[in-house]
Amino acid sequence: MFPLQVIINGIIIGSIYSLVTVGFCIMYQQLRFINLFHGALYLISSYLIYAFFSFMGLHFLLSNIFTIIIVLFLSLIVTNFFFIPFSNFNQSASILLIFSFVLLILSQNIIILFFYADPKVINYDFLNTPISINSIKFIYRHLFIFFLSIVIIFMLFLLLYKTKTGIKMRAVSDNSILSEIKGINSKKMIMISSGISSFLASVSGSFNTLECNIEPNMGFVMVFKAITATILGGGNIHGAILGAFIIGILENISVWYFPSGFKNLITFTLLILIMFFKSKDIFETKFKREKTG
Amino acid sequence: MDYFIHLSIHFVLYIFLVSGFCILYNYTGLINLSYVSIFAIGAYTFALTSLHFNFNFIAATFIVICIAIILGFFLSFFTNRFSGDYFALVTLGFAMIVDVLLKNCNTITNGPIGISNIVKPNLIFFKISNMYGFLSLFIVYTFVILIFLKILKRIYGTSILLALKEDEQLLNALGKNTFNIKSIVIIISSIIAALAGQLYATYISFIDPYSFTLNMLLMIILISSLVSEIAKVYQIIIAVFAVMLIPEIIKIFRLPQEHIGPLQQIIYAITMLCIIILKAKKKVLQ
Repeated sequence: MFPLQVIINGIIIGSIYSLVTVGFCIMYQQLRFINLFHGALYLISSYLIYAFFSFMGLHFLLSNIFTIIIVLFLSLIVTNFFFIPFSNFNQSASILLIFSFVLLILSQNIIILFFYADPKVINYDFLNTPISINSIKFIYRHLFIFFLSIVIIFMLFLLLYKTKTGIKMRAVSDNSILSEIKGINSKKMIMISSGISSFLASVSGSFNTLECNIEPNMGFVMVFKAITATILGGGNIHGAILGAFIIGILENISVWYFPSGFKNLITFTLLILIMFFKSKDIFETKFKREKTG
Repeated sequence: MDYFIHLSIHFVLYIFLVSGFCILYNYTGLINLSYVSIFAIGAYTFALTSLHFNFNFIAATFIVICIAIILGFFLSFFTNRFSGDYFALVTLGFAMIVDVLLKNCNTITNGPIGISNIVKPNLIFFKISNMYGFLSLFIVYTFVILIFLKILKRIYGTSILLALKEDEQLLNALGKNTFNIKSIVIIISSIIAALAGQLYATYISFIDPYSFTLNMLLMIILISSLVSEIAKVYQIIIAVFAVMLIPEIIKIFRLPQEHIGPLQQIIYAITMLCIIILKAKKKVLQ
């Protein structure tokens, strides 16, 4: 039987996964397609923070701010010019999936062109002092990441459920035609969701740069974990967070028993098994938009 | 001259490979993103059976076809309930699983080191050992596949496969078993991929998990998006030729080695994006 340390490790890594998953889930609810470009935003933000911090020597917080602004611009441009017009077509989900897949490969290869394919680390001693409670060991940085993730998700829930913008966003994700009849500008709400989603990707990219090494393939792997967590949780945000923590814990348990090369195998296997056994309701929207062509 | 023969062998291999992908896409509208991993499994099966059990080429062909049938059935069984983008998602997950397994099962597949010194094909009456022999073998395989495509168009051209692509639920409601039809098309596509993998393994005679990447998948998707009707052979040939011309043009510029690969993929990706955008504009204008 595995020790409690494994579960605590899973919860800590699950908090990073939950940020990416919530970002993915917001876009999934608005446009109902598997957005593989979210992994590209995560990848680009990690490498931009690495470039600003290690190449140019800026302070970590400043490089974070620059990265958030750049990734925000990128996400808004792609959503406005490509994702929203394509979502009006009949087979929009497949077109958008292939489009975001090709965008992910494009950004991955641009990063390989500039940064080469070997894994990179930044040396930033941020809260590196260890702490142990009852023989469970972690460092203060892990606590910082966990609590900051919880705070960000809490603020996101406040935004979604207590502010007018959040209510409008949820209305558009539920049924965009009726919301437009009521006067909500659905394109603006989708852009705001895209901005929030890119902000979450940047923050979790910066956490990942602090914690682990970065390599060009991690965009793919991370967006797959987000997809699995969302589908495991049933397609809404509460389930997505729970799914992310479950995936983090399951991953660490599998590393306890199997060799560490198989770490990502549990996510992919879980995806196929869930897709096979889950009911079809979450895959079909209740009210489809009137589509052209 | 040798480089030209090497290029033509790759050209013919890609025609063979892409026709398998296009059968699935043009006749059922499903995008099978695990196509390259079935290609990899075909290559690894041939390499391992010829290494451990000393099978010759023809016996290994039977084993490869059997494994392709099992994999195709497995894939169609797990994805029976949905189509479109969830099919692409599940096949992408399957491709990632195969990728991880090939890189990490060191006892079976030699891990990242790969398998080298794969035997050249030894058909009963011929022994193929030089490049012209390989070229003729590949051309024979491709010829058979192209004739098969014509036959398929003649039998199924305007009937049940077109109906499957249009509206699968309606076909189910009318009483046809769409699971059987989809399974057969997926299995045919997997057989073509696995046979192409066997040919690739015996030509290159060294395989490792890093030669079957998503980059090859991007090239296949790019070629198949240029092909609108699979039974017109000239479309496949021109599309493969155009897409294979691009890396050759890049090589003229004499860039350092580590920049050529990503640059080639960037050009493929930008071309693919432009094709999607142009097709979408054409749909809007209609």
